[in-house]
Amino acid sequence: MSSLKQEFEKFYQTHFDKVYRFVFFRCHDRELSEDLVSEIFMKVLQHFSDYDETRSKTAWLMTITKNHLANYWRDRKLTVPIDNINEDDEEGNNDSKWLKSALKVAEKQANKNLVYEILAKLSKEEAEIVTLHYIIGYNYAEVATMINTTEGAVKVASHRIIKKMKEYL
Amino acid sequence: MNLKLWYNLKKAQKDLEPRPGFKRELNALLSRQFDMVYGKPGIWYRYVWVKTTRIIIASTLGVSMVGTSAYAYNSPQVTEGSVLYPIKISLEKIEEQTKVSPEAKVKFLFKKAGRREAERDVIVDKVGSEIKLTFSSVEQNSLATSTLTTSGTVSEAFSPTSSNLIVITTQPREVELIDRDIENVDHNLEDMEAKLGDSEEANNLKVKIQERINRHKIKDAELQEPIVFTSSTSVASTTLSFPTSTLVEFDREDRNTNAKNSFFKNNNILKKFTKSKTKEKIKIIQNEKGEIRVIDNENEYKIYSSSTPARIEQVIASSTQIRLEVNERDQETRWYRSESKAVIQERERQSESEKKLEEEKKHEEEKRAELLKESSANESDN
Repeated sequence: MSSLKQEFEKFYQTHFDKVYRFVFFRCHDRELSEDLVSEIFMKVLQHFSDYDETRSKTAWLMTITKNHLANYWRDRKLTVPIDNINEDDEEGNNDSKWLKSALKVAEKQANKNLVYEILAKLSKEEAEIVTLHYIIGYNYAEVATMINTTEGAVKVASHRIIKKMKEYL
Repeated sequence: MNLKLWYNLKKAQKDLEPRPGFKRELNALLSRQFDMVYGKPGIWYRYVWVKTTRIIIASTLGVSMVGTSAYAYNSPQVTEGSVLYPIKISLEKIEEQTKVSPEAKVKFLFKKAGRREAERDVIVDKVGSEIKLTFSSVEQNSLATSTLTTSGTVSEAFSPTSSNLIVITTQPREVELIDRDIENVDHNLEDMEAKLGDSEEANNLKVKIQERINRHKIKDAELQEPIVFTSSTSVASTTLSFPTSTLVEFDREDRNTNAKNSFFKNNNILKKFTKSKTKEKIKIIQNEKGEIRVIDNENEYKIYSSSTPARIEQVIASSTQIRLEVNERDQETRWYRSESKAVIQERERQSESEKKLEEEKKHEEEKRAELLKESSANESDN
């Protein structure tokens, strides 16, 4: 039992920063991010013993995070309506919603970073790869798991995207 | 990657860092929550897992202590002066306390004596390898020795010659301490002998005790007997170094005099030896078995000589004890000869028999004279 606790602590220490960045990148509200991250890890804790060992933990955590964020916005009637910014994604795909929402929020930041401007110019897939790898901090293998592709493909894509970003500078 | 782009990406990442302390707070909260959901770890866990480190450290220490003690107790390599020696002695004392019957105590004392003797051998072997003694002018001096009578000046007895004596000694006083221990054990054995009963085992032990005590008496007699040559340091510096032979006694009271320094100045090994403050005197002896040993006030060492055993025997056969002294008034160096008990007894026996013969001769002559007197008186009467 306690080895499970140790395992959970290790899991928490490994993934906390990335989850927090992911959430904060999305909402740009520190207090809200803290609440959301706490809730996400509570959920993880509840289901930690049921975790399927055959699956990637990173992917599992990312799924929980995305679903939780989606539920939050659905329940709270977000200040940025997702439907408006996601006109072409009527199927309600959470994977793209979170990014566009984040970009929209970021645009509203008075003192916005140059990177956000460039990310807005990239395609959805490109922006996702750059964000996950360079800003949130996932490695190529983890990003590949999240977007259902190979590590090599992510590497090639990220290099190509960086080249593209340089041109936008 | 472009520096500007890299900087902006890093800045974006840094902007997303959590508040300091939030991670720790959430961790604590989750830990409590975890205990609520999955329950607290049981006592078995706390003892078996949580305190595993302590248990491992404690048992490692325990095992190493037991191992060290066992090694100290059993190994003859752990000798007087060793760090582990006090442990060995303490364990022996404890063991001694457990022996109640006289038989058990005697057995223990034998075991103890055996241990001390083994330690002694280890030390003597160690020291022996560091001591060498050689003479190049043995033959010449042994010839001179054989011409000695009672006493005289050195120049009468010896022609000046330089003896090549090399003594290396570095050893402290462990051997003597061990010898004292062995002596104590022997005394204890003697005391215990009276307490032993009349059983077969007790009788066997009594025999063993007697054998051991007799053996030591013989050994002591051997050690006291045959000191052969003596030299004071002043003599050594003035005339011929040492008179002769492989067997020498140093008297090193004048250890800081110029004369002595001049004698030792060409011999680095002797210099080293004379610097040793603990040793004021050494004797070099040979027992009946042909073993040569160096003894100073505190220690005994085995000696390795460059002379062959046959040569040493020859030298000893032609030698008795000779002591050289410097007269304080006239600075004259004189020698004195003393002999081994056996030689003295033999000479006394010879002189007594000669005396007897002379007395008998005298008596016969007196008788003859009386007879002659009587016969001449008879003739005159007739």
